[in-house]
Amino acid sequence: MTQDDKLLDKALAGDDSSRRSFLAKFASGVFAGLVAPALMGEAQAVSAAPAEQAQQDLVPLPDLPDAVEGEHPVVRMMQDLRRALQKPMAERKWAMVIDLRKCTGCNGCNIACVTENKLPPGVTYRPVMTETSGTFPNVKRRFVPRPCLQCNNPPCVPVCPVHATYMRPDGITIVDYDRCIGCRYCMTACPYSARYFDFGNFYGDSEGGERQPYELLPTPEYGRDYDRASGASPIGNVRKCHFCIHRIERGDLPACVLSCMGRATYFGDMNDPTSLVSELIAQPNVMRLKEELGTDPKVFYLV
Amino acid sequence: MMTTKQRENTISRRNFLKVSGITAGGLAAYSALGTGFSRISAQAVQDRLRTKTVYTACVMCPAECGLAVRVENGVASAIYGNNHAPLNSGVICAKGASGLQMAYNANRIKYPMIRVGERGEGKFRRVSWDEALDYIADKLLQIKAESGPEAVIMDAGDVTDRDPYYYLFRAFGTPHTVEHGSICDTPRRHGPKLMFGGKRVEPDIMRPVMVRQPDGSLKNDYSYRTRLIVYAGWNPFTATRIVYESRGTVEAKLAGARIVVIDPALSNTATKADQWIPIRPGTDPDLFAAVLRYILENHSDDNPFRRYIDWSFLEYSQGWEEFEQEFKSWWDKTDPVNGLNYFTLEWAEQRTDIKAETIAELAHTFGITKPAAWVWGMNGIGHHYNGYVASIIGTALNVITGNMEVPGGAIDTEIVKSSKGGNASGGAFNRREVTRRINGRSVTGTQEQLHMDWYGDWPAAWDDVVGDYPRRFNEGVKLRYGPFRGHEYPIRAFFLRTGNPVITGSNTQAWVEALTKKNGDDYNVDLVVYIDTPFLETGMYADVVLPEASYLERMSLSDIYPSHPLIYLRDFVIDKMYESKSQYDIMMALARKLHEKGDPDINPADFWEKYPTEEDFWNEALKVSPGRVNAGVPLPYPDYPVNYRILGTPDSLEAGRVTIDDEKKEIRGEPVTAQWIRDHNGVAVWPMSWYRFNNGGVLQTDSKKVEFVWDYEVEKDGETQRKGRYAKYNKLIEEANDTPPALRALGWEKYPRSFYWFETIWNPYTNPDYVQYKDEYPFLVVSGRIHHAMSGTQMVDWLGRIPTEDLWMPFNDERVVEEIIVGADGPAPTGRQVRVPKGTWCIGVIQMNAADGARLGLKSGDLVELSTPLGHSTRGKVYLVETIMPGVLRLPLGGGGRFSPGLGKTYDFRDVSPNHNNIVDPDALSPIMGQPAYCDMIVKVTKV
Amino acid sequence: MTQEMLAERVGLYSLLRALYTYPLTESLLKEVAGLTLPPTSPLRDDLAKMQSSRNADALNLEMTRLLEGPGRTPAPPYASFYLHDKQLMGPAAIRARNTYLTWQAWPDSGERLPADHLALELGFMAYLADLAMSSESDRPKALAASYAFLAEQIIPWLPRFVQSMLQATDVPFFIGLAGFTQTAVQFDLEWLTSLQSTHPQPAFSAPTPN
Repeated sequence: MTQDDKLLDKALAGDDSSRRSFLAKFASGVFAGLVAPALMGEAQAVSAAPAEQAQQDLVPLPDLPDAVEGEHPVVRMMQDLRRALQKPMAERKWAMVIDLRKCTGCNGCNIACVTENKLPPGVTYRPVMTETSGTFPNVKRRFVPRPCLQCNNPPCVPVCPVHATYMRPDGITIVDYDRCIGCRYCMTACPYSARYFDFGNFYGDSEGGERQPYELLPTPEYGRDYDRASGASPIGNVRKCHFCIHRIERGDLPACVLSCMGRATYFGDMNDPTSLVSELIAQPNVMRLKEELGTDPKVFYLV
Repeated sequence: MMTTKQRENTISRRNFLKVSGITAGGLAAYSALGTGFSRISAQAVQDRLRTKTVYTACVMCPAECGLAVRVENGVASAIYGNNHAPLNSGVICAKGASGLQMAYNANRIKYPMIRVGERGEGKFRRVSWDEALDYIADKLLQIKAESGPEAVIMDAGDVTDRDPYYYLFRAFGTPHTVEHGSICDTPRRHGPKLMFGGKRVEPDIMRPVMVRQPDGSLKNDYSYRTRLIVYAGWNPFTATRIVYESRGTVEAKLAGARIVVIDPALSNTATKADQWIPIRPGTDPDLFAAVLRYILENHSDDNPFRRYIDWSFLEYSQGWEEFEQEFKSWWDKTDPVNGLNYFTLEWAEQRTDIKAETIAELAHTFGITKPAAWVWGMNGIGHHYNGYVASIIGTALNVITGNMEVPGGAIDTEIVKSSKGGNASGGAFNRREVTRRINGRSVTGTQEQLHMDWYGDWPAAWDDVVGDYPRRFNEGVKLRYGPFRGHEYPIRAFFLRTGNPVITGSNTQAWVEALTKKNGDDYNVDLVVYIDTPFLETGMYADVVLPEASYLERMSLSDIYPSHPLIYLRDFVIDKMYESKSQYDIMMALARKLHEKGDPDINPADFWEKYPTEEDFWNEALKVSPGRVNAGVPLPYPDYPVNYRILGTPDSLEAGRVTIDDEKKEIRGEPVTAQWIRDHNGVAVWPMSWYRFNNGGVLQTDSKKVEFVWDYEVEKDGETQRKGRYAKYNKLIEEANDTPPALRALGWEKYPRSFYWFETIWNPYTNPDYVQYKDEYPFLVVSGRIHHAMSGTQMVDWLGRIPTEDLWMPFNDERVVEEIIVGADGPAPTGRQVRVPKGTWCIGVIQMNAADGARLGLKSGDLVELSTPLGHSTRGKVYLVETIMPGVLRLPLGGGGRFSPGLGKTYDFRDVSPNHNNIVDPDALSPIMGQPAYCDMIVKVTKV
Repeated sequence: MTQEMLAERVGLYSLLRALYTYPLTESLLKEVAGLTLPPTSPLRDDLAKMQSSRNADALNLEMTRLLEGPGRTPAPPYASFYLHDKQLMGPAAIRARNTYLTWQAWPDSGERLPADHLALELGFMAYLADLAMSSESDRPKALAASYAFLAEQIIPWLPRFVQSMLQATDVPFFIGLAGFTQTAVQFDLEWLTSLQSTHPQPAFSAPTPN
């Protein structure tokens, strides 16, 4: 054994532990052996799983008693999602179904979306529109939540001069904040007014001038942590609903779907005939907004 | 460095560098390029790693849903519903999702403060906790020495985690520990209280419910069996959040249920109804009575299309015959206002403005459709002088049609939810013996018998209620009943924790006068302490303001409104902000202070020695959970005896790790603890069952039956005993030979044995005393509750942008305002100017029928003044719509005229938004329990 | 001597990190030009290609097209793209970020670049190499971690990335860079493997005992 070898052996064995214990202790789990150095202490459990066990990276299903007569819609949709995620991206097509008969107009979806995506004042991906009509006492009021409709023929995409917005293979139209130059053509092109410009406002600006702690957190959209508080993107970009891609890709439901107080919003893969959304889209009472424009939205309304 | 050996395509197992051929120093120098990484501190790692989800319970409103809060880098960043909590089953409303802007609001109370200006000026200085508590403790001990501890009121507001305050103040010696229920909806709860010992009748639409299966397993049942729900004056979608009623109502409807909403305005709940029946305000009892009369008159045992009554209710009830007789005794009487016989369809049409056929159809439909639930609400019934009557008839309607406790029928949530509190509520202190000198003689009784309402003017004011403030602040207390009859004492200290009576507790001006009234140089109420997270109007009148930790920063329990026992843990989610303290912290700190200053009633063995940690305290409160009996079908625990009280964790009960105490009739599993709940997704759930009234079951009445007579005698062991909910009060009245003034005003000597009827006030259509005002004051005014924009959360920007129900609308004009923020020394200008563009902020408006508006020459947005016959007035912008019946105005409760600078933009528009409580009759306290009659008022409208 | 070997690894990964960090600078290219290898080194040809240009502007133009974007680039330098069906910020990025934090290592670029960017992953290898070099007590763990990170995080996608580069460019510098990266990292992996296999102990993929 050369001197090098001895040194390396020593290095591997460590000064204070036998070779065996070193390997037993450190050759494990997290990245198959990548472990915290002693200076980190034992407290730093890291949840990352081996790459081949990607399913373990998904958020866990709710731990509920077995169902008799019906099932929890969240569990059903999360299972639908898991099935979809196992397919190649191009083979899944995300769709949303909103049952207007069940929307209670509470705006829970709206605010859950605002908090999830850390939207600034003036940007709401999912407003709930109220329409009242008739004359007393024959009056009705209807609530229409309006996310991005995720058109199959999105009018917003071709107008982008820098190709910053495009439809992913799974049908979600996204904005590449790194490329978006903020020209807002797409906002004009969207027939549903579902796009918003981020002017760089913060809620704290009009309340004491200090930004609130949650406004300083990075924006999680598209799985990136956009450090908006530093003045960077998505400030100056056009923003829109993206079905919470960052949530669905870890097996979780979009913020609005999870929160919906009337359980009126459903989400899943419309390419999967067994999914809940596929079942609902097949109902006779389905409609879409401004169908006549040929935008072919993937947000369906039950009326 | 080693020499290079060349071994083509073979790699020495050890000598990468040699093989790669890189020479000494060649690469090492590139270290200078840097790794691009830097070492960060362990704390910084923690901050970056710690994206966690914490299960907790909401307090943005008292529905207290189960939450899953995401915390990033120690900052709460998103609030979701907890899927495991059956009450909300994962959903959350806008208000719940907005909790971040409450916890992180710039206008939070940050530090303890002591007043430096006059009350109402809002001038404070920051002090240490020590100084603040010194101040409070000195005053308390002075008051106790001079006037007795009963001169102190602790009002612990509208959330269920009030126990630490109750515990402390009961230990201190006052029976006046109060919750918000006293000013909320007591008339609404009266029927269930009398007849079941309960409070709130709700439809059986909480889903899922966990039910015992024939094979012994527990499964979640998602099915809706309800066929009909009648919501009278009840607006679960917008006004109050018995949260499952939102998804449950629409789901039940899709599953085939018919939904009928009775409301003067098209509420959001009404938008989902099969039928919206507009009703004249204050006439719900009239409608209910007409329905009951129709059912009694048209019921037929033989005709299946008229078989309204399910006589099986007689098996678990008593006194129906007497109730029915009393009810029928009105049938031949003639109404002095409309000249018709009471409770007929035509009579009801005149009063309610609902067509007789519609009422008949409603009664018939309710009679034959089963299972069904007749549900009545807060503003519609609870806020009227005679709401008791509607509540009693509504309860009877559910009982006689056989809908109580059947699957898909109606449930009294109060008597089926989990117990909590126990010793932690400090009830034992109230049973302590105390002695007072009255008219020169020494009298002994219990602490509780010093209560200003129960033994004063309002003996039936149950449930920790103080019904009669602020009048008692001005007039003091003179006890009428019990051992301390004749005892007089002033009210000298008012502690308020969460709540804002200056805006929401009867007439605003009356509160302001009571809190600012002086005797010489001193205020009449010596000490006002305001404990809360937001800074609301009542805080402006406080001598000491204490910052309470927001609900994301403290621990406690929640148990509210479910169909079967559940309990959630409210857990620490984020670190306490600024210098705020939790209720437990405040209780202990003030207790120590009092102890240090020699208060003999504060014993360390009851406080820090007994509950060294916050969790110890809440574990005490959990010892009585779930505390309900093993009753109903399917039996929750088929292996355990029926009607035994159940205690302990669901898993220990399931596994048989229990002791069965036949003497106490208790099944005791392992005690529920905060840690157990934390380990089980933040919630403990025990099984659902139905038919829980059979054989006594969950009923809390003396007879363990549904009681239609509330003061009756039974023979027991050769003795005659008075029983029934009113018996106790009537005995006091008889002993003292003194009728409570409010009963005297009705012409009664004591509480009635059974069915009773009286009219509401300020209603020219039903009460002859007010017919004279009909022409000059043509509008009846009601309040509507916009849940997400109520008293305590109007500084939340997200909610200020959500228009709702034609009451909370973006009607602001453009303004540049001097910004005021609640700082270390109270509200103070920041020197900044903030522009609020037109139409960007919702304010409370006056909802008016468009035809009424046209007749008055008004258009939407016009500023008008509403004035009452009593000379009270308020101003606001009208919104002319088709969604309210003519002759009725609706104002948001607590939605306008808000003058605390802690309310941000809502404060900025206080001059153009109406304060409904400015026009409430300050003396109109409903006669049984003293609740303000918020919704009984008439006005005229003048354009400003 | 071992110390020097360990230092060489720090240099190697620091260099690679720099070469994948946009933009390339004249001074970096000058440093690359100064590197010499013996004629027998398998890295020599690739190094020669890399040394063929010192025009940073021109190379940055190509680097923009190849790696940076905007838009879909021919060779996205992100692990997730290759491992998770062409999506970005997949689980691989989250794993990388968690790994950095486990070692109290934080990219100087903060969260601006996804954690699975090649420059960050190589930079992290440099960080571990530096730790192995400079701290005797951390050395065993740092080397074990280096092996694991290389084997489980970098190698699963690097060849496909390199292939994409080679297919997409005809600029000698990038052809050389691709080959150089592949070969050098492969060498290091084999060296690290040999360290592990010296010891007849459980494989590195044994599950975490907790």
